[in-house]
Amino acid sequence: MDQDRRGFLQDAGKFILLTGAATIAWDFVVAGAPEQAPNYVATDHWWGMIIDIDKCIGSGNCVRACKAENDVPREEGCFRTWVERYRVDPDDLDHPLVDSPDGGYDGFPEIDRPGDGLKVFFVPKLCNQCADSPCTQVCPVGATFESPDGVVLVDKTRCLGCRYCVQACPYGCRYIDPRTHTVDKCTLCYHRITKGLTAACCEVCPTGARQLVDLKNPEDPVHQFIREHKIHVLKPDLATGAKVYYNGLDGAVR
Amino acid sequence: MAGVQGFIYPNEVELQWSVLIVLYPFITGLVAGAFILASLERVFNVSAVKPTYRLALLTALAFLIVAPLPLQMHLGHPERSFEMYITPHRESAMAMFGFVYLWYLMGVLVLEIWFDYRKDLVLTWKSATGVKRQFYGALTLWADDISPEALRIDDKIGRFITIVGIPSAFLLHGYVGFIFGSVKANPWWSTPLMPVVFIFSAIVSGVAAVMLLYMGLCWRRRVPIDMGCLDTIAKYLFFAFVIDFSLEMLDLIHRIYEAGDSFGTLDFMVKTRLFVSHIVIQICLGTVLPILLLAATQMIRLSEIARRRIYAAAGALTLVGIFAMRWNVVIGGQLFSKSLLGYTTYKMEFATREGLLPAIVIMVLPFVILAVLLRVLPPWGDEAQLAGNKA
Amino acid sequence: MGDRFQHARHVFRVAVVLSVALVAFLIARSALIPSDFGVLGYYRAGALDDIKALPIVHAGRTACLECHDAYDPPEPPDDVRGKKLVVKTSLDPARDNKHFQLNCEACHGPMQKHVDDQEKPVPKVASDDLCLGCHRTLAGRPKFQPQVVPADHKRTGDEKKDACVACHQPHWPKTSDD
Repeated sequence: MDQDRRGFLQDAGKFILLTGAATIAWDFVVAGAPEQAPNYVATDHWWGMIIDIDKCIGSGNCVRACKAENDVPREEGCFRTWVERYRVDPDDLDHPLVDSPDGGYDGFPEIDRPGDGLKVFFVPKLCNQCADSPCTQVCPVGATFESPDGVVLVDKTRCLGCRYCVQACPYGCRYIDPRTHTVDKCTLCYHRITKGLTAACCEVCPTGARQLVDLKNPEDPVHQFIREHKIHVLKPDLATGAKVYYNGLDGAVR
Repeated sequence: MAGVQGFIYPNEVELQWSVLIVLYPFITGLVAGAFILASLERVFNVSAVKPTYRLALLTALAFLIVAPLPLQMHLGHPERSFEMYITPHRESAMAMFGFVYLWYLMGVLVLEIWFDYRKDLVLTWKSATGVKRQFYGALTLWADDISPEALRIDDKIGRFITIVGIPSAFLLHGYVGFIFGSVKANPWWSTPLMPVVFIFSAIVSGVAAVMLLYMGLCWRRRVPIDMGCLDTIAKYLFFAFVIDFSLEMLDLIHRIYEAGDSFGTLDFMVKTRLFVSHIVIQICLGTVLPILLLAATQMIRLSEIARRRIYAAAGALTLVGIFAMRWNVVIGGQLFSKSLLGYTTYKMEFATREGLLPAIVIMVLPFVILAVLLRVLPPWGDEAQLAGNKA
Repeated sequence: MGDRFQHARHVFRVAVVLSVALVAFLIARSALIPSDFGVLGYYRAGALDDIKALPIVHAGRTACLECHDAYDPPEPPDDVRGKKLVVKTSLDPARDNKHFQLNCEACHGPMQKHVDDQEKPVPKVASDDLCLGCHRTLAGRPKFQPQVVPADHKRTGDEKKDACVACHQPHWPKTSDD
């Protein structure tokens, strides 16, 4: 009798355990394979970008290419990436003059002549693909998230358009797409980088100021670049884990 | 770009949260404040305010029913708002909305009202005919036990619900404060004081609203105002206001003293774009003046008529001031660029989905609902109307 | 026991109503949550596939060079019009071509449509505005970038002779002065 009961309990335990495990596994089976690109394994990558201020010439190629690649509306206030021009007066460092005409889409009009006494430079900006992103933290329904390879993305079928993430982003990189009434932002050209291409903005940058980097790839030039240059991220005091690394970022840049 | 001064990030040209998002904290504040007033009698045994107990609960209910409306009209996809119930992101304060709202509506307010009104509902049910009989029968869930033992149970449960309801009311409005206070990207919003300030200004607004409604309804019913009740309400309004004002001043003084990197930008904004709504309306007219008026009634012996007039004025100014406070937080937080180098303006339209017209309709709607509630659930318990014969 | 609860029947009714509502909610919830939600993180895993499936608009340098590479030219290309496809650009870094690092689409614009259907003719892009977009003198441009003030640069007065491409071949822009 005892042996039967013990046997029964063992069998029941195994049954429950296996059923439980099978149930969990079934969830994965039913969910389908999340990575359909044949050779792309998301966890092998950790994407970021390097922007070299010393190389940016303010051409606006990146802004135009991004809009073309990602079907970004041409309306005011819809930019996945943009370029800012800083004009710093050495006698008034607290008040830099900044402009970004149409995000830099058509380049920049001349304001100063070189040698006029102001320090002028261009700063391309985009989503910083934060590792501890405040925007994904505040989404009430899990419609924006960080992918396993470090890209912050938006699920347009679930976004409510509540705009909390737009408020929470310290960098101003999110906007509401007036056509879908959902939030939109730079995806680091996820549809390209998962197929071995580089981001559109990096592809067309005439001086190579913008470069896509894969921090998990030991052969990526980013590691050497970080060793050899003085690197900054935007708003480091907010501890967002930003993965866009700037070389030559002046203290005046906000 | 019209109205832009200095530099703003290209995506900041349009404000994200409109006047509708100003309304939501104002409305939930009224709900929480009205409930706290009701709990004064139920839990803290301040019997003087009993005449306003049921009115306060009905006021809270009327406003709570309307509360989701401004949010739905703001969302890009209101038809997806059910997602907050099925996949709430627990890291997000906003995800709490669905559950806190539902809990407060069903678990606290509706239950409390039901248990308190049950005896009257049963009496009305039994003495009514036709459709009215069916309606009140359904309201009572067809349970007709109003023996003393049953009523004792009702009273105990009601008391328990009120006790649970007080932290629930704090949660209902406190999380709204946290929604703003936890955004590190926005220096105007980011402060741990935000939920506390929101809660106390909610109490102030809710108490003032019920006080004004009580005065107005007494006048309409041509019934004398219970001055003992009114004086007590005004006293608690005064105390709550002093605390609220102290908290707001603490935040302000702290900011001015520390003068962090955002201070220059915010200071300029308050002195220019926000001067009328913040300094004039919120602080002077909406806080300091009502506090002085109420202080006068606490310290000087005044006639009944004088006190009534002062209470009415103070109450009205309070509501305007608390609305201005919500406006200054929500809109003010979006008037400056996160680059701290520029400002934009809020262009409020009139007859669009998030314009002034829907805002007005949304603010009028709770009073319409309250009028219906006052008929269905008359709060003046001792009147003959309850027997169902006259109404 | 029964006596105590005899007067609490109405409380049980409320409890039943609330319990039924709760159960209905839980059932509706499990029906409405997408099956792939929460698998990789707090989001719908299918969203990654949705985004990966978005159309490519810029083909990328490698795709261009498959047909247009002068340094490593392809076998006689399958060109219906028999036109010369190879681009006279030296990809030998030793030859010091200043436009070497410039990707094709930086000037030619998005070309995926052309890669997909090579029958579609592709317009030539030689225009002064295009060149000046990068090369006109502008404060803030780093020194390594060659910059000219158009009005001051080798003007002859003849429109044809003053065009940038009159002296600079875009794929190999050095002139006799360099």
